Amino acid sequence: MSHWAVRRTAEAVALTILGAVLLVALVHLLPGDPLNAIIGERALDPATKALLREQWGVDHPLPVVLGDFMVGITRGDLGISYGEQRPVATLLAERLGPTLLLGSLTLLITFTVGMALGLWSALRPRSRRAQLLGTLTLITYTLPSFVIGLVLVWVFAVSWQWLPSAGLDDPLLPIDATGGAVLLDRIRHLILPLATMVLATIAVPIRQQRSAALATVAAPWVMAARARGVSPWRIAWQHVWRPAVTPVITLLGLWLPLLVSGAVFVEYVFAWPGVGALIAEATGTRDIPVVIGAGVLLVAAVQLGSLIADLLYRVATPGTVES
Amino acid sequence: MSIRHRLGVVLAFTVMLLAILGPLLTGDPTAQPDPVGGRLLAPSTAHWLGTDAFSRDVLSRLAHGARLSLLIAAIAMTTAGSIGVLFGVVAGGVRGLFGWTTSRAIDIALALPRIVVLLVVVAALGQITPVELGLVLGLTGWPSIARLVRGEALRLREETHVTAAVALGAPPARVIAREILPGTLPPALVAATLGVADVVLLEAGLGFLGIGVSPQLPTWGSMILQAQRHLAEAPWLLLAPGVALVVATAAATLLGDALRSRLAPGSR
Repeated sequence: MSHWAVRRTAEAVALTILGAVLLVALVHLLPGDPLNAIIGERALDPATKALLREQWGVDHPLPVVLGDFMVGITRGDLGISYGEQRPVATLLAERLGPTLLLGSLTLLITFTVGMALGLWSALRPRSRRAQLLGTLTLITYTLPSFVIGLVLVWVFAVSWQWLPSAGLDDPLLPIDATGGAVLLDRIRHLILPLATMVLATIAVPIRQQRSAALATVAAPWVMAARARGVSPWRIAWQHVWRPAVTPVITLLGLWLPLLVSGAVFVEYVFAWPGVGALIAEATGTRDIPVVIGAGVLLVAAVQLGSLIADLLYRVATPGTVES
Repeated sequence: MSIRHRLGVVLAFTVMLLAILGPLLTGDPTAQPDPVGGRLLAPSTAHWLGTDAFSRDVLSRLAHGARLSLLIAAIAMTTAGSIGVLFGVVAGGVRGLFGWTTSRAIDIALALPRIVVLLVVVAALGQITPVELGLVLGLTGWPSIARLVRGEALRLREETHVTAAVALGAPPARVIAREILPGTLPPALVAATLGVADVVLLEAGLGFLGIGVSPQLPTWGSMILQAQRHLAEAPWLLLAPGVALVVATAAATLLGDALRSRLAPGSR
């Protein structure tokens, strides 16, 4: 078990490093002069341009660029942003908190509510309400996250003016506001982005849990439990859900990329100052060091998530043979 | 054919009709007939879906957007499908180092979230044409198809008709091309059809972020980007492309399901 865990961890680290190498190489090999992104619309004389090329190292060959990047990473140095002229690592550090807040709450709510709804609809698959849920999940599944976000903004922020539509907190909040007022303000700003993230990602765990539980509902031990008069709650919890939980854990690894793309669009819609909005903005301004830095961070997050999912799967299914 | 599958066919025809006939019937999507008095008009008989902030006809932009979306999706899925099938068949069908290396390449490509690769590529290239965007979306979409085809090829490799071909002395290349490859095509076609939904959403997403193709082009994504600024006074600007996106992605998803039950009834 521990031997396997070490090997799996090494694999995740190797894949992250390879991913970083691929992203850096991709930018280097594709056509497009990064100098245009650095100087923007300004007209500069050739001598200044040559100086800038040297200063930013845009003409270095790929092995040098890759070497610099890898050495930099070990020191926590991801280069300098073209646009902000500040270290990429600093920019990422500033943006990490909001993303972790939004992402972890989304993960928590999507999986608990998604599994509960999936289990519920598997217990009475022919009921009207379960079929309505099926239709609703198909709709949220086909709706892009930014459209869901904008519809919520239109209803709750523009039409009814219940909730703020953008940002992390209210800039007009008094400086001497109490802790409670600050917390309430943060929660109010969190509701719409969080609801959007959950709606955009919940269809997958619902469907997965539903199909896994549908298989166990028909199992002979469930019939036996019903026959000997076990309470419906206990049947749902112990006899149906417990054996049907492992497929959902496996799903976690596949679901994380969904969370990442959700983060990019939803943070952008709500001007939520996270890593996803950062990479979207930086792509627009072609701030390549920031795009690569944030990209590597997101790749690492997905790898870490799928590693945790695999370890959890091992814990949940002790009998699994080494593969 | 179930009702769901019929609905998929109907929705797909609707989008194709909008994309093929729409632009011929609706006029110039860039015309700004009355930039002062004719902006943000509500839907009427003159403008069925209203006008945007530059007095441009929303229906016309929607129809041209459908054409661009389908063009990009067609290019992307042809590209992703061909590369995916090639890599998948080699990874699943070829034994030895070559097959193993191809298989690891697929695993590495799968480890990278598509949106991240897409943003990195777009940041490097800057503004691109719709055809180029189609290619970029295809080049970032092949790994999931390759994984599916690899699994299918690994399964087919153990089938009796393959064993028979090998026993009869067929060279490995012939076994792969004639005995394994054809069997992987139906599931690959299903995956490519389902993948159209992802491509349409990603293309709209990039348009919404204002990157990729020129924001001046009438894409559904750029229409949504514009709608965001006028949510209070002109919500139809969001509804038109939003509904179009749902119809297009639902069509691809339902059509993919229908194809699956026809072509690969065994798979889930």
